[in-house]
Parts: sequence; C-alpha cells; structure tokens
Amino acid sequence: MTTFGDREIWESWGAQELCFQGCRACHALQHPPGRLCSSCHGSEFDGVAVSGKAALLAWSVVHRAPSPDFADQVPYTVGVVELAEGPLVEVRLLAGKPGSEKVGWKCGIAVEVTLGYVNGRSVPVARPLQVTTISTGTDTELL
Amino acid sequence: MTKVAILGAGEASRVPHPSRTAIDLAVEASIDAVREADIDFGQIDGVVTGYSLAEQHLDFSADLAESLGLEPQWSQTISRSGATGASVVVDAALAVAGGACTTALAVWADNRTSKPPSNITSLLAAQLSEFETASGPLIATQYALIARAYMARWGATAEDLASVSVQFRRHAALNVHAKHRAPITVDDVLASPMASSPLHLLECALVTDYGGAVVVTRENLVAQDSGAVRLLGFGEALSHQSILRNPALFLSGRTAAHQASSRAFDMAGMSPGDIEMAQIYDCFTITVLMLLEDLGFADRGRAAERMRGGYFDRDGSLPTNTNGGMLSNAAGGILHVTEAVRQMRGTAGEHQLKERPHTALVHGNGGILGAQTTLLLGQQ
Repeated sequence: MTTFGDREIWESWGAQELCFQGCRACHALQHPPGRLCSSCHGSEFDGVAVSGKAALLAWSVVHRAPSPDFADQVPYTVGVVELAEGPLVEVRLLAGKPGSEKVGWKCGIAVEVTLGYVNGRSVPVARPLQVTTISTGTDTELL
Repeated sequence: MTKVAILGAGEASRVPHPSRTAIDLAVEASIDAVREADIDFGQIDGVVTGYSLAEQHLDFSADLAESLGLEPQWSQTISRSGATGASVVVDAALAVAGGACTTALAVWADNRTSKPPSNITSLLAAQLSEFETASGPLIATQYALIARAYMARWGATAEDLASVSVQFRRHAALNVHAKHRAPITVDDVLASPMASSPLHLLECALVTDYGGAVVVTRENLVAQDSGAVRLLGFGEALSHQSILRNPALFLSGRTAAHQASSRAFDMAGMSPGDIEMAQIYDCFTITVLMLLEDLGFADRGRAAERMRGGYFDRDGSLPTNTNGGMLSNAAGGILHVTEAVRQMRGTAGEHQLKERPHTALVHGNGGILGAQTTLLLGQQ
C-alpha cells in the first residue's frame, strides 16, 4: 500500500518540509505521486527531503487567471524545474531577494526551490540563485 | 486485420443557438454522414461517440442511438480528451474488424458555445493534478511551458510560432463555415493579448460548438465506385497525464506522437513521404510545430521554417489543416477527420484542394501532449 502519497506530501509541505515520494524498493523519486512506482512498480513509499537545488526548464507569465482565486495575482510567473534529485516540479517563480527588482528568466538557470504560500497554501516556489543578466533574447522576459 | 473503410463524413452547422444540445449537434452530423455515405440508417449496427463537457451524459452513445432510432449491437462512449476525435475512428475500426458490428457511426459533438458550462475553465483544468494547479497555470500555461523549452532549445522565435496561426487562417479564408476568415499577419498574432507567455490569444484554439461523424464499414462491402476512403493504418500512444512525468517534453521536445505515427506507418507499410495531406490537432501553435516534427514532416526544430516557406499551404508540398483547423475554423478534433475524408472524396466544397489527395494523415492529441492517435487514409 501507498505509505507516502498525495496527502502526506501536502502535510509535509504544510509543515515546511520539501518532501517528495520516494520508492522504498528502488529509491526513485516520482512527482506527481502515484500508487505504484513508475520505475519498478513497487508499492511502498517514503517521504524524501530534497536539497532544493534545481534547474529552470521553462517558465510562463500567466496573464489570465485560471479561477477567481488567482484573479488578483495576475500576471504571475509559473515555472517547471528539474530537481537535482530528478523529479520535475511545477512552481511559482519569485524574483530574487528583496532589492533585486528585475529578474530575467532564462531556461537552464540554477534556481533554489523552497516552500512559499499561494492562496494560503504552502507550495513549492523557486528563486534564481543569482540575478540573471537581462538580455533581449527570445527566451528571456522581464518579470 | 479485416480491412475497413470510411464511406462518408458529416458535420453539424455551427451557428450557436441557446436551445441547441450536444445531442442535436451529434444527430445533425450523423444524418449528414449517413447521407454522404449513401446508406440507410437501418444498416448502422454500431455507434461510438466521444464525451461532452457541456452536458452530462452517463452514456452519450446511448442517447445518440435512441435519438437516431437505432438499436446497435455494439456501442460505447469514449473519453480520450482532445484525441477523442481520431480515437472514435480507431474504436469503430476495431469493432468492425473484430466482428462486433458491421457498419459503425463514429461521432463527436459538443455545444460549448450554445450552452457553455459556467465552469468550463475548471472543467478543463481538472485534467491537471493538484500539484500542477496549485501554482496557478492555465491549460495554455502547460503548453506555453513546453513552447518555452522548445524555443530555447531550437532557437525558435515568437514569429515562428505565430506563422502557424497565419497559415491556417489563410486556409480558413476559403472555408465558408470557418469562424474566422479575415487574413491575419504575424504582427496581428503577436499584437493579440498574451494568454500565457509565449502564447498569445491568436495562438489558442477557438471555443465553438462542433459536431462531426463518419461511417465506418468493412472494405469488402464497399462498392468500387463509392469513393470510400480506406483506413490504411492507425496507431495510438499514451506517455503521461502530467507533463511533470515526461521530461522529454522539455529536454528533447519529443512527444508520443512519434510512437503513434510509427505504428500507423508500419501497419500501412508507408512513410511520411507517401502522405499528400495532413490534418493535425492544433490546440495551440506549439502543438502543431512539435507534432509535425514527431510525425516526420519536418526535421527537429525546423517545422516553422517549412511553415513560413509555404510547405504546409494548400498549394504547397503537404497541405495541412485545409479547413483552417481549430485555430480558425472550429473546435473539436473530429473535424480533422471529417475534413480529411471530404478532401479525399472531393466533397470539401469551396475550399476543396485543386488536386484531390490520395493519401492523408490525421493526428489527434489529447491532454497536454500525452494521448496521441494517428490515422492513415488512402484512396485509389
């Protein structure tokens, strides 16, 4: 049986622990979580804390709210990051530390994934490790 | 496998009316298809339909069959998100070839404009996991993220993506049924409001009513001069539900359309070079560029170059989405099927190609590039 699934992940995130579903048999991490391991079809899982080190694979500025909950937040930036430990995670992208007003997002840059609040819920967020040089290339955009 | 053929295709008109139901649209398309097939309704002993988002039906095929006065020996309703339009044809073919029935109606219809569900955005977003929706993406955002990675990897530009909308609008101009027919330029696309960067509103499929149907039967029952279109091959594949489970979308830009189409080409003993016309599921501009490459119609990262050079124009090497597609004509992946059949039978009307194609590829895409269905059609 699943021992660390959807509910346990949300609980860990709520407790400010960035954990993902790890297969007890083959140690692969998978996200979103499943009932069986996609690598070995094992059925027992543990919560595995990750480092937060990740690479930004892609990002998009959302201009239209998907539901009224997000209406007062647009535009905001959503990204997909690849954790150093393997899994891909969808995150809210945040600008760098206070004081760095503008960030140019670029595919491939290093980001740090932590937990932050969106609509009152603790979810993964990511910030660039360093402020990226802003260019006018096709894959950057001002936040 | 027993060979199967498509006798005719039908489409419902798409003038919205508040009292119009999804069943109305399905009935209208079915009657049109049976008329074009030149058979009697009494010959229909199988019905397969897609799902409706606008209306609740426990079994859409049962409601349609009863409306048409049919008591089929085989029926089912399938749900394969956007790929449903192509997949109802696969299921009808399997039922006919397997002997479950002899002549099947394959139908997909929905009244998304006439009676839009108030919560259609959340209905569509339900295909995303909570781990994705928590950060606030639209369905368009999921495609936009894949577009962003594609652009970074291949150096594709916003203009490259926009060229898809411009090309299909050129085709819609000749289609009297298309929702949008006025020509647009790359600048028009880029000046339209951003939905989720880098995708603009003019790069997103229309939301419209739609209804399409085809009649599928055993090829050995088809008269020589019927103009029937043969189903030469098909293939399906499902790689993921969540884009987070398929890193290839971001890293190599490959989708399971490659596997689906390879299976279809193997079954037919054909290759992409044998295809004279394509109808490709075009929910967003990026979808078309990636699928064209996966299907073998352009090298990796080069589909836009061919798009801009007129390769996919109705007068080009491989006429594609000749009715204007979902970007300019109407929603609903079933219309890619009906358009292909009609072009091959020479019944497409004002936008009929000058040379009737002898072979065609139809490709359906569902979810966020997860469910893939390829059909290969041929005619003497």
